[in-house]
Amino acid sequence: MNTLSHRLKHKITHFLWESDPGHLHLRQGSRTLLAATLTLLSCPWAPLYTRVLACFAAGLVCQGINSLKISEQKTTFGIATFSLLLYFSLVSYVDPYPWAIALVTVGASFTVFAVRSLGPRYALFPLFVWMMGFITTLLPGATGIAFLERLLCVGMGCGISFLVYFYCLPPRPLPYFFENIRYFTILVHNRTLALEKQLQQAIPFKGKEKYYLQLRRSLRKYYLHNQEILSSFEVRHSTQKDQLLSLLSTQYLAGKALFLLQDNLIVLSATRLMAHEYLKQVLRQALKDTSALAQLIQVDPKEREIRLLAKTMPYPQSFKDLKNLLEQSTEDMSTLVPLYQLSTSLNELRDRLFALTDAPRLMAEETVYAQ
Amino acid sequence: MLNNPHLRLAIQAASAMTIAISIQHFYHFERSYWAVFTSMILFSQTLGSSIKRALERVAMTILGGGLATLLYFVIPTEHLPIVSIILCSVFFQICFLQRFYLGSAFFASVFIVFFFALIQTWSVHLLTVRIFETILGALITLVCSFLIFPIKTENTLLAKIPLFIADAKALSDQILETLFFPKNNRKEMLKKADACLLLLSQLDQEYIHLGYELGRHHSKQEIKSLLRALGRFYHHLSSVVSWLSHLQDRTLFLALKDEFQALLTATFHDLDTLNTALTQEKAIVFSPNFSTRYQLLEQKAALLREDPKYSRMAWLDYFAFCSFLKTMDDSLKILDTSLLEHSSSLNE
Repeated sequence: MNTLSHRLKHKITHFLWESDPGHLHLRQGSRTLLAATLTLLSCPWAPLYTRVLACFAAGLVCQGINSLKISEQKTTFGIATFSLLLYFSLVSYVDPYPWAIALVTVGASFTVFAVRSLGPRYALFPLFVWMMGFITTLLPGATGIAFLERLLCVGMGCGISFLVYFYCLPPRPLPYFFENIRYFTILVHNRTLALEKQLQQAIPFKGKEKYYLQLRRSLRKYYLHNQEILSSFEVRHSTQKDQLLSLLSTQYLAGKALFLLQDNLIVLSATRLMAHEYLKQVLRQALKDTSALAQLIQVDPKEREIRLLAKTMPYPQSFKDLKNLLEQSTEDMSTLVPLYQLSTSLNELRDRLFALTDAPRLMAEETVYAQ
Repeated sequence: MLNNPHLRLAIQAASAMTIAISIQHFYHFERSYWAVFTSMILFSQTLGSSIKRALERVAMTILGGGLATLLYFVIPTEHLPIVSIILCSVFFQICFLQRFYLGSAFFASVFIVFFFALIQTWSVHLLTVRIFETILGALITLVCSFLIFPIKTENTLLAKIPLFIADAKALSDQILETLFFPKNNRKEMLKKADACLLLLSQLDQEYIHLGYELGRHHSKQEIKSLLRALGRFYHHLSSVVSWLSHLQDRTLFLALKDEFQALLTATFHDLDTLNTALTQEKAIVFSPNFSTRYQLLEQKAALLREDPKYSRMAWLDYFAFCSFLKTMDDSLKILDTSLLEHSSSLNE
């Protein structure tokens, strides 16, 4: 029962926190909630339906914007706000005429998807603008002063949303990037420990096909997340972006090395070389040493102290023993190939983990946004 | 013009709106705006992903709406608890919007129940109406997606495979250059590997949607084999990228440069052949160049075996690289077999 509840707790924690590195989606949820709540509280004098519309406007206008460059996000936000106000006004104007509303709705639904041809900027927000217009048709209409009051409240909602989005809870791609690296090192730590445990079994890697697919998917996910971030934000100096790109390549190669390590270990475990207990001991120790390095980095990959600590770690004796085994073994060269590839993967993984600690001490978050 | 998928989607959406609004006007169902709204938001890039979304939406409307209705009858009907639940459901709906559609649809249903509870009232009858309207909206979306300029996932997926193979060929050209000229193009090589990885991930994603479109159709299994073969091939190719970064002693490779170049050129030329086969929708049997050229390589390597100039590590690198080449050739043969199976079913 305890194990079950522990597993369930772990799954929920993983789902809510670890599958959202940098809490990108949690922040977006918080922004939406904050914008809608502030809008509701900011126009207490307005009638209920007006306040409801303003809240919807505040919540909807900031959706579908977070995938673009920061400087472009502000422009897109502006375009979204303008589109929303225009569509809202149009719908309010034709509200007394049901056929006109139907035509406008059909025309707008065509436009929502057709404008995607103009570029990725128009991929998402038009749908939310359409939703706003549609919700407007469901509520009782307003004309004259009442309409202007509504327009004002909806505009205020969009303005509050803008302030919340860019100034209260601004996008912070850089911490997200490092958080992604941190979760990646947790993956490396857990996986190397799991591999070490497999070597303790009498028949290692029996029937574990599904874990290979899982590892491949996890590695790809972390790498692609970071790739998306790097292509979507600007840094003040081009050297910063180069350093981050270099980190991204390092993460990719580290992931690849981890996967090859697992592959090579499985191939090696099927050869007669694994009958040697000494080799098994050396491999287990090498995996533990690699895991220890990953565990050190996962504390905070961008901290200089971590880098210094990692660099002061002595070169593991297990790696030296492995090298000696390769050089002194009397086995046929082709038999040693899986062991050689395994040793290469271990060294590659270790080197890449060290390279991840070379994250430069970047400036505080606010300096990475382009003006 | 109609090859543009965005335009096709736009026509489908406009048609769905026309149908939904006409039903609303002529049949006067209760709360038929839910059907109109649902039919618009379920449109997605391909038919398969629209089907997936529709099923998830209907399921979560029933589950979320049902649980929220139960909760509504249990909690006190004061403003504070209702507003709190509304705020929580908005928060989670947005949190899950881009990464977990099921969760987002669930909380959307909860939001609707308590929003209506706040502004008027909620009842089991309303829940039934909502479920009916959601199913109606989903049906409208699916009918329009299927009948009006359908964007089939299978076609989208198959159109991307030649792009992947072209990227893989570009990567393999980079590998060849980096092997003999290490200072050149390492960054280019990594960029090309990135491009392949991105496309492969897109293909995997499309395959999930394909399941909804094809069900148990046999072509789904063939495409699965094709994708698996592509994944395996990429895995071996990218393993070489990793290995190359650790290659120190190139003396043996330079001594066998001509043989390696001939072997690699033959292997990677097969990628061009494969792409031709895919775009022309027929299988081409590869000529057994690999085995012949590999034998030539081994013969020359055997002559250098006793030469003390080449270190033990250099030989280990040589054997490791040969092992990579053999696995790459095997995966290309598997890819060809998968393609043959798929082409046969197309010709049936």
